[in-house]
Amino acid sequence: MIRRILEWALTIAKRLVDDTIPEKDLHAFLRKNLMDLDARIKSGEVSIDDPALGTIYEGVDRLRRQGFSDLPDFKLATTSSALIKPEGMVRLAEPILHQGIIAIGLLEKTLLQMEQNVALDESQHQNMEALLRHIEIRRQGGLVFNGQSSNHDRWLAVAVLSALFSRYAAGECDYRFLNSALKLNDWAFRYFRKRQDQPGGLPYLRAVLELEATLLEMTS
Amino acid sequence: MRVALFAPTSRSLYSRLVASAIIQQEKIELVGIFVRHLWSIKRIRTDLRREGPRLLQKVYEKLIAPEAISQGEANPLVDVANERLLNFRDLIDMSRRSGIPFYRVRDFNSKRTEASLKGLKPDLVAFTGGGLIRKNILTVPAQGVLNCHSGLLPRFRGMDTLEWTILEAQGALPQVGLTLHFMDTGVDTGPILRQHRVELNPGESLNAVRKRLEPEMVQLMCQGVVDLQRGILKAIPQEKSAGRQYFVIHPRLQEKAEMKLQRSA
Repeated sequence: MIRRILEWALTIAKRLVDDTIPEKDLHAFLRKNLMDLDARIKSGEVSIDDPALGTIYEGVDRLRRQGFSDLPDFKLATTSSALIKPEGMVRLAEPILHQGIIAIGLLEKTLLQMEQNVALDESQHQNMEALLRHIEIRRQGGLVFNGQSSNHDRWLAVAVLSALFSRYAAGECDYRFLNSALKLNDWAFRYFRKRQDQPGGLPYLRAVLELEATLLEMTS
Repeated sequence: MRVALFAPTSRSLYSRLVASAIIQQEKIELVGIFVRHLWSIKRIRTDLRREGPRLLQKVYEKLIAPEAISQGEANPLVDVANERLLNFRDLIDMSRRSGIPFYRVRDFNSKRTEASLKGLKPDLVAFTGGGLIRKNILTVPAQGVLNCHSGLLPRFRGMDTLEWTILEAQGALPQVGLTLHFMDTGVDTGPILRQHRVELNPGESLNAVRKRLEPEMVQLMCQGVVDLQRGILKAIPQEKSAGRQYFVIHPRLQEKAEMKLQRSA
């Protein structure tokens, strides 16, 4: 009897503290927001030249290849300059993480570099390893970015970090980064789920697409 | 040989089995038992940060109902405890009955622990869990601090190495296992003494594999202590670049590892 009460208390307590977002919630979120985005593009509310769309199209395409055939096929519907990525990147040797603060500009540049399939050099790999350790050890306490002026900026930076970790995991076949991206997404989801119509919605949508596509590709 | 035991809790079945095996050995003396305070804020904060929500499950399994938790499921460690007639309920009880000094400490790395340990002049510390050990403690025992890591070093360092090993495997099911090593200031980077490899059975659950490995951990640790006393174990340093540190696995990746193991049936 006592054991049953304890097990019941354990189940309740776990529900209260568990911050894992169920897969079905994330997939429902993706479907809804991509349908909305499709409608907004068709109505002209969102420009097809928005640079954020390029990576979203790519993410949708990756997911469609993994069996998500009900997602809108943006590629067929649009031919946009957003799909054309700029060439050439300056290699960045500066540390992304300095005294516990993450340099958001370098995060974005590294992500762009990876999207262009420009190989990272040794110092950048070391940067990534340091970032991984920082997030895994400090968890949400480690989400401190330079130049963040608001809570919203902070969560936008988390979305960029999550996309970067997913992209790196896929490129290096390193499950540890996918693991960290999943954790980052759990934290960010609570903030972004009701803010898709605000600025920042697209970067987060892109981060979730990147994460889900990578997870399916690496584990199927 | 003088051995001190470090244990995460006084009720840890693994720690109790190791302690009980050590005191039965000739030429080996258990000179002290160190157990961490359970309800220190620092410990709860550190453990919560590392383990996240699953800490609750661990607390329940390890502290509230350790022996009886696996009703209806095989628990080889409990079977070993029953076979060995482990008749003391915790390490406090054991220390009282055997006259072994018992130390309840807030932190294994504190000055107080260091002073108490130095007073015991141990040749070896058998570490059975409770966090990372710092240099001030690592240098006290003449031979070092012994740990049994539940993974194959040097490749898989850190947490949840069973799941990581399965996830990263290409093709056939990988070998998993345990590694006995001396601790250093890194995470599972100290010199390796011995390994125990096991095959995964197709269709086996992660939990079943973990349970199957637990008695092997006791055996590896105890045999390691005996063989160090006999002077027949050689420590082989690890190449730092030969492995990676893994962290607490996300439930979705853990589920994928479980599915991969199940699909192998």
